[in-house]
Amino acid sequence: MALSSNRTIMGLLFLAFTLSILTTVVTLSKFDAWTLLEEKVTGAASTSASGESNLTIVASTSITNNVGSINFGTGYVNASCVSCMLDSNGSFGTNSPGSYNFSCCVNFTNVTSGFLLENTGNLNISVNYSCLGSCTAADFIGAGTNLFQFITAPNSLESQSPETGQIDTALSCFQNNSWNTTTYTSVSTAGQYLCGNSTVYPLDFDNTRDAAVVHIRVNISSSTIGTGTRKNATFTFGALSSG
Amino acid sequence: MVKKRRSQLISTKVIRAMIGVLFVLSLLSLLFSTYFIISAKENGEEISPNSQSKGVASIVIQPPQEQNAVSGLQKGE
Repeated sequence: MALSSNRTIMGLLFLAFTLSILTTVVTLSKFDAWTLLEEKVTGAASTSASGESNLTIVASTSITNNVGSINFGTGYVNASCVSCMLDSNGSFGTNSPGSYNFSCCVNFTNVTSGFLLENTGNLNISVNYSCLGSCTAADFIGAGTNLFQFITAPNSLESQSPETGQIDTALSCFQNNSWNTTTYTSVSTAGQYLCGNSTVYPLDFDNTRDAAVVHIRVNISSSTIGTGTRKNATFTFGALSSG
Repeated sequence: MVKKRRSQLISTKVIRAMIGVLFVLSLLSLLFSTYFIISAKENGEEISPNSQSKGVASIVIQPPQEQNAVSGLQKGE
């Protein structure tokens, strides 16, 4: 009886001991105690004079918009035209789709640079946007058959500067231009994912394929009655990574 | 002799109870650690670090009266 009781006690002791060790290991592994040794210290060297240097490379998720403003300026549509189209890719003035007539857009600024998004961290990321302010054609331009759209293109095709490091030489987003908005898409307040999604992170951090340009296009019909007040649409571009 | 035996029995029971408490505490500790780690991940503290960058598009469309004023000025010139 006494022997059996002792065995039970020993068994319980062993279990409690194992659980305690397990808990300690799990807790420490999640609070950097092990990771400092296993993952983050990526280089270590010692000299004969007993010196020691440590290098820690921290994982970083970072997106940078290198062109912060697209300002189409102040102007109006020539009354003899159907509409005026302004695009940050430099397309300026139109009387009908595909036909450019500079005189249709009076006084507006010819913008030649879109938002230049770049993965400036050291992790692959997905990219999304949301918009605040005048984010619909009706709000940004006014009532009527107006358009407020955007399109995304790899910077290896746009060759826009300034990029950190170098201008891309290869297609970005899955390295094959898998941007979700490669045709003109209406701007919305809620926004959407531009490359990848909440679980897939295809925009490479490699300097040769880490950037894209978001061009903004507005089409103002000649029937639009301007208000004379500045309309702003603030785009927030977000990056997500596996960390 | 009987007294000694009884004392040993009580002592064994106390030890058992203490080990039981230790066992339950260890189990609870493990459960809480797991819970906090999972909730931290769900809050995006580990799985989804993120970054943001902003850009502003702006335009001013002139009202008709200002258009006329500009046209008049241009004609005058």
